[in-house]
Parts: sequence; C-alpha cells; structure tokens
Amino acid sequence: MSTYRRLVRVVTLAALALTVGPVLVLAIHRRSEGELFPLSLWSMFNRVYSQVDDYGLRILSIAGEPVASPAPYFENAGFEASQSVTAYQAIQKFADLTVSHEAGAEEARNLVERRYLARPGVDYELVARRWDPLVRWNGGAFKTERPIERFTSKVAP
Amino acid sequence: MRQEQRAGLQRLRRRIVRVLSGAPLPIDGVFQRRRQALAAAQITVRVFYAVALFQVSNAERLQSYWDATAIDPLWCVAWARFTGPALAGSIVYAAAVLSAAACALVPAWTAARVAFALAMLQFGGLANSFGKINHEWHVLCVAAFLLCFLPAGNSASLRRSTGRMQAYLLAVWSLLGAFFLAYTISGVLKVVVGLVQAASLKPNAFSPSALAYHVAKRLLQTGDTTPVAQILLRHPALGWPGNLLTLYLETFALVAAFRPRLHRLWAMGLILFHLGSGLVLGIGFYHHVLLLGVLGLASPFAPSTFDARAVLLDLPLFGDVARWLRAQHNSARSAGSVREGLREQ
Repeated sequence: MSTYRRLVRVVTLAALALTVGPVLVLAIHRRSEGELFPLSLWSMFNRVYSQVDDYGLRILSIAGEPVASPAPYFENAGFEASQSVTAYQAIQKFADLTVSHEAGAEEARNLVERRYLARPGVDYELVARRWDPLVRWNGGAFKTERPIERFTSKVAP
Repeated sequence: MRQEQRAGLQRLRRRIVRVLSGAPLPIDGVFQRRRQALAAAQITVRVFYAVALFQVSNAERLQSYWDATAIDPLWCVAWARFTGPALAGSIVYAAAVLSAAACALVPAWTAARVAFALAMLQFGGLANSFGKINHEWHVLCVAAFLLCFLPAGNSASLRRSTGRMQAYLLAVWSLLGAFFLAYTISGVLKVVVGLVQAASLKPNAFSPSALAYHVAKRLLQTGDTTPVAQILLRHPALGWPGNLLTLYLETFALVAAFRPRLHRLWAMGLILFHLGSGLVLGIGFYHHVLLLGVLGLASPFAPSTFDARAVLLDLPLFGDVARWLRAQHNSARSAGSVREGLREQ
C-alpha cells in the first residue's frame, strides 16, 4: 500500500476515534463525561443553566476559630487555591462519591483537603445547593441548601 | 464483494470530502502550489515542535508538581500513584522537554517524534490528574500522535515522489483537521443541546442571555471576576452577537479546515473567541491561540492572495447556499439560451 493511502486510513481512523471514541467512553462510564485523555467530548458550556444543582464546601471554622457568620462557601472563604474551577470540580467529585458511598471518596477528599483547603483543622460541611446564576449574581440567595456531612481536614499539606 | 464494498466506501469518502471542500481552488499552477505548500509544511512542522517545546517547558508547572501533596492520576499516568507527583512530574517534564527539543532540531527523526507523542500523553495525563480534566493539552497530544506518521525522508526525496509529497501534506493538514474537529464537536453539542433546551422553552444557547448565564455561573463557582463580566451581566444582550458568531465558528470549523481560503479567517475568528472568553469568562485557552497561529494563520495550504468574493462564497452554509443559487441561476440561463438557439434554427 502506498504511503499516501496508508496515511488516508490513519487520518480517517483518527477522525473516527476522536468523534466516536468520547461517545463510547460516555456510554460505558457516565461519570467520565466523555473524557478519556486525550479523547474528549469537548463538552463545555453546551447547556445554559438557569438553575444549577451542585455541591459546596461551607467553611464553619478554621483551627477551632469560627469564621464569619453566615459561614462562607469555599470559593468565598479566602483560601489561596479557591478561585479555581479545578478546585470546584474536585469538590464536585468528592461530593458525588461521598453521596453515593463509592470507592474513591476518601482519595477525592484527601485531594481536596491537601491541595485546596491546604491546612489542617478546617471544619467544613458538604452542602447540596440549588441556585439561579443571574439571581445570585445580583445578590439573591440560594434556592435551597441541604447539608450532607460534616468533616474536619485532617492532613497537613 | 469485499472489493466492491471498499470501492463504495472510497466513493463515499470522496463525495464527503468534495461536499466539505466547497469551491475548488483554480487548477492553474497546482504543481507549483503543491511544492510551495510542501516547503511551508516542513517549516510548519518545525515551528509546531518549537511551540510545543515552549508550552511544555514552563518551569512553574514543574514547581507545582514538586509542591503537590496529593494526586488523582488519570489512566495513562496510573504509575504516578506509586512515585508521587514530584518524581512523576520530574520524569514527565524531562521527557517532554527533551523529546520536544529533539523534534524541533530534527523533525524528520521518527523516533524523536514517537518519543514526543508518548511523552505528551504522559505530560497531559499528569497535568489533568488533580481533580479536573482541563483541555489545554488534548490538541497538542493528538497532533503529536498524528505527526508520528509523517513520511520519512528529506525535502529532495519527498519531492521525487508525488505520493510521499501528498502524504506529507495530508499529515500536516490532519493537524489542523483534528484541531478544528475539536471545535466542531463542541459546537455541534452546543447546537443540539440548545435546540433541546429551546424546545422545552428554557434559556438556551441561542438566547440573548445565554452568555450572561454562563458568566454568572462560572464566576460564582470560582468566586472570581473578569474585566468585562460586570458590563455583560448588566446588559446581557451585549453578548448575544458574539455568542451566535462563536456557535457558527465552532460548528463549522471542520468544514473550514477543508477550505484553504478560510484557514486564516477561521483561525483569527477562533483566536478572537479565545481572547473574548478570557476577558469575559476568565478562560483564556492561550495554548490554543498559539497553535491556531501556527496551524491556521500560517497555514501552508492557504492561498497567497486574498480574494474576498471567493472567501465569502466559501463560507459554510451561507456561501454554500449562495453557490447553489448561482448554479441554479446559471443552469436556468443556459437552458434558456439553448432553447433560444433551437428556436432560431
């Protein structure tokens, strides 16, 4: 077979792998969101959320000292690594695994505590939240907040 | 039967490529253009590896691995669980930098290209092993794998064989094709989900407030702010034209990859989209900006002259409709003149 024909096959197969691959990954493992690096579904901002259901870490106290009242969520609590979507996603994964009592919850918690809370003795609770982005941006409250479980970060960075 | 099926598949592939390719480039000077494209493509490959070297050599990333105390490794770097992030980061960083440097120096060296592709798989995998898969390394990694299939040989040996020259050009084009395919997948998903949401009368990708919802959600998730967010959230409709244009650019990016006249236009459009999303959402994707520059703005396949009318007629959807209407008009006119000629006889 000529070099060119072989390459046509390679490119066609690569195109198929890049388009069909992520869909198969999603079908096999729903929580993967179609991601099996370097395959990706490139699913970013495809859904417009007028109502968001997610999880947050409500910071209750740090080293025994209560933080401001009402207790802030992680993203507004002044942690060094807080303004990061990677931290946000790590928290979602930790919460998902905790709620469904799946294996890996402890590892996900460990990652959040070591990398994002990054200090021991942080007393926090996992909260399931429902909110409208535009309402909240304009100062409105969460529609619902449901505490799930309380933790204290246990590992020094 | 098998041969017939194969021939049928080939015909189907050719037909798809013909539809995607739009108006063909002029046949005059095609051989000279191909030689010029080959010379430019060889430069593109070297610059690609130089850019890759620039992207992987960021020492801050290595420092972040040394500082990291926990890891949630992806499948391709499962071994990092045993070494820890510091040692894994050091190994992967060294492998990526050294192989990228070797490729930038001798892009024709197949072993170096394969080593770089494997190193990129590890590098991207490790970078995404801290709780979330980001998308800055996907394109570079896929492109590195596609470049493993570059035909071997120097310029002179490539020029001696039309097949090898074509193969080299196809390999380089496939980088842009794979890159733009990622945008198309993202765009098509947005359109499909948008239509589903529109059908259920919810705010959707086509709504004037779509971008405002995205911005508010994103910035509230991270407790962050961006230069343009305040203005946009005060006047949500301001983001509407940009949002619709982005949908168009993303959805038809793959079609643009098949139309050399559009390479620069689409690359610049997508660069502006990334700059805009950096200003509005705080998501820069600056790795992609650089690659769009190398593979799109400096595309070896883009014509050297700019013909605005031809570019407009190549625009996916709008240009296709215009060309179809023109073809209908021309065929009706020629049928009319044939009838008139027959009547005169």
